[in-house]
Amino acid sequence: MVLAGLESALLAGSVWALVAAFLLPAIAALVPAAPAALRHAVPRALAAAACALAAVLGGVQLAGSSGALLAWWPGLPSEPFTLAADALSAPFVLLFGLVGAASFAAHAPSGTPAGAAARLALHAGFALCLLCVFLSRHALLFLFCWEGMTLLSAALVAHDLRSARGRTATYVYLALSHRGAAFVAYALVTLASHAGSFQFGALAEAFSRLEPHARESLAWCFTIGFAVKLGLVPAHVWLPLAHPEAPAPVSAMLSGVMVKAGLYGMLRFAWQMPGAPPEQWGTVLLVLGVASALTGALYAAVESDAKKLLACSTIKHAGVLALATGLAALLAANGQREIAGVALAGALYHAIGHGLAKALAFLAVGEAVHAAGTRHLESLGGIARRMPRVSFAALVSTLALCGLPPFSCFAGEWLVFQALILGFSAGAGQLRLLAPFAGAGLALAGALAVAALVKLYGIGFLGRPRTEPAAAAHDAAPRTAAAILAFAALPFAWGVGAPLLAGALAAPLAVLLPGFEAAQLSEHAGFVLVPAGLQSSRIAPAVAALMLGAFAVLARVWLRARRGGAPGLRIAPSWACGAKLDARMQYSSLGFTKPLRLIFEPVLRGERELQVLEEGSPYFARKYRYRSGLPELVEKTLLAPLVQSVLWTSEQVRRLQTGSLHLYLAYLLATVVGLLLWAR
Amino acid sequence: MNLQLPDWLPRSNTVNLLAGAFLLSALYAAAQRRTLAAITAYRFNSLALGGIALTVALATGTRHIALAALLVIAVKGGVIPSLLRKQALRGGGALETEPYFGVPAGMLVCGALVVIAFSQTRALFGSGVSILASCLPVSVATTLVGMFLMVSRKQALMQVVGLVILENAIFLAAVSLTYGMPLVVEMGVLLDLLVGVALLGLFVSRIEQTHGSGDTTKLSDLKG
Repeated sequence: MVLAGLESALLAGSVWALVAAFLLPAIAALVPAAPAALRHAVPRALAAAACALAAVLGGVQLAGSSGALLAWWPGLPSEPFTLAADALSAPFVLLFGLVGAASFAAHAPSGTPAGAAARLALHAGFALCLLCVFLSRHALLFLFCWEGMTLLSAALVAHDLRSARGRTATYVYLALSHRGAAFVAYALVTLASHAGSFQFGALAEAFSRLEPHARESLAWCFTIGFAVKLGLVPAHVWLPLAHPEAPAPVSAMLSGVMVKAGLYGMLRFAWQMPGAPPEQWGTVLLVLGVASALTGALYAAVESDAKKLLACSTIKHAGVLALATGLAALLAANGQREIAGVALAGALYHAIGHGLAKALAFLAVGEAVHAAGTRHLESLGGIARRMPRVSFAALVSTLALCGLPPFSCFAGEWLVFQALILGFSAGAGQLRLLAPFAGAGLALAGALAVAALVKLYGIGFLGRPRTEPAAAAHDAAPRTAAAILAFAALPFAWGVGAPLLAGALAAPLAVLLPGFEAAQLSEHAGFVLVPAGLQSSRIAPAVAALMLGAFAVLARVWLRARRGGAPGLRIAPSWACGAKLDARMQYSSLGFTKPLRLIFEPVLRGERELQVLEEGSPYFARKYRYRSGLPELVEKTLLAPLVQSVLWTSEQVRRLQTGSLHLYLAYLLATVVGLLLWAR
Repeated sequence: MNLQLPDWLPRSNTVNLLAGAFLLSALYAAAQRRTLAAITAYRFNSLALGGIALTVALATGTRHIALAALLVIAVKGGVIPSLLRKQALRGGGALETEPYFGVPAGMLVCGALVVIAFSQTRALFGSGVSILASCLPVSVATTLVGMFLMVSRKQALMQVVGLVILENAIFLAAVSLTYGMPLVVEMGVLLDLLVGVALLGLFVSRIEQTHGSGDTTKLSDLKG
């Protein structure tokens, strides 16, 4: 009783506080006499508090409690709009709350006061829509929030109106997202017309009453629509364009949370519906997941724009999530519920783990590139000394994103690997064929991602600054830096506490795979992680963390002892054969990835162009222009021809529209005569 | 429609005669290069229409159709043609100098349209639905001819004539299928038409002022 009351208070509190944070800046802008704090500081604090409440709500829900309901009658002639957290949405609400709180805490005003207020309002509105996507129990409200989430985030992506890159990104983002939303809307509305109601419960019931083939096509519609949001190949093109253009705190929410809304949608509408998922669903997701993981990791490895690199890495992790989900579906269809549970637990755990790590990465790296004034790795460098606190957070996030043991991405990926191996040895038919390829692909993607993140930290943060602005970078505002540092504890906690916390996913796992005991995932009082009930291998992240810590301390002690013990030790510039050393001579991002680009040349198909601008002597020109680029393969081979054909068709259709009155009248006459002839 | 008709009506060819006059006047308009002649053709077209409606009213003894018929004769046979005529005289040389189709070619197309209309209407509705069975194909044929008039002429005023002939044809279709609509509807349609023609006259004079002639092909210059 107390818990239910607490929960409804949390639900109402988080939603209404976000609404207030969304409206306050606008109202304050209209009232000239309003104190300045109302425009930024108060709404920001409100929004951060709302997100914290949402995190608690998610936690309470995971701990197991009856769902509290927030109903609102919109005046439509149907049921009320209802918001509620349930077992399936709880992990996502938790992730939203944690990332959102950090994102709002790190949100710093910039630019004109009006612009900053507008950005904050959009940020809060986006967060509100995102939260309601997870909480909504009403199809129409879900669609509203889904669209609102897309539109508001697109406005944030386009926040810099002068940037041509931002405009292109917004355009591509909106174009692709709306294609996806159309699929989701079609499926939801069709389902609602069968159900005669918009409530999710009624929808599920109507779904079970449908013909099998109708059920299958609807489930595929949902899958396609949500795959766009999740950023799976070939609909991933928008992701590396749009995510980097938004301000860092928003990028953190986009990559950390919004992408996971795609996974949430797939789980709720394509998996959890009775009679779903359709046959071959698992196979398709598994294949797409491997392709996405490889594509994302490869493009992250060769990317030299720091934020774009992180966005590409998001594609990689989205691929892992899709792979794990598809694997779980395949295994569950085979009746191997225990291994399916391991894969699904891996997917859910990784969704949160990656969300936390990627949000931290965007916050820290975003802060660094903002201070240095450029996102290009070749112009960065030396950030670690100039921004020590932010750089520490960036280091934690890169280690976590690499999937190293004591951090957040490790446990999820490890569970997925275990499920792949177990699924291979126990699986039947199709999986025996797919699992080795998926495992190898996932391993390759992991290795490439490590290369990408080593490049990000090594080139961008270590060494010496390559440009003046990078040299002039200074640490972020104390509040922002503190928020980022505090948030850095979360990926660590999520990694170390994996055995304990994986058990907390019992409720969503029980909903998705009835009969699966999440408690089997941990042993020895939540100290050791095991793939449920299967005694093949086990791991204790806390021990790994302890060992790493001990190693670090020992190495430090040993170094200090050596340094102290060597008499006459002096620090001098390194000898460079008499040449004058320049910061530009450091290992560059392009140089670092040269071997990779050579190996993957057939896939990457880089473009090079050498142009002689000014002829000098016959052998040496005076001026060259060298341009190289890596156009996205999918964009070049699949989307560009598509866009071209659409444009060509439009051009042909345009010929019908000559502007001649007589021709239009002739169309009319021809139509009437044609109908007369046809009507026979 | 179960009305007691006087037995002379089906045997007499009054309706057929008037329907023939209706179609022929429309074809005459389509064969004209001078706007004034086309307007006169329209006047006869309207009078034939009024005659058909009046015959129906006499035959069925319904008063409101008679009223509507009188209104048609007054407005479509009197007011609208004189409005159009005034406009044509104000424009001066309202002569179609370069039509898209010459008169013989235009007549051929019109003939084809009439054949299509008759054959298709017969196929769609069968024959002998009512005493006005012959009116439906005529009205469809006249609709097509009116449309063709609009397509083939460049003078704005000629297009207006095409439009009002088309409207007459639709009125005829309504009469032949349903023995007339309620009086309120008929009056509303007539008022609409009157206001429409007045407005179109205004537009035609604007076009003439702007482009120096009533040639609507020049309107495509306005396209961005």
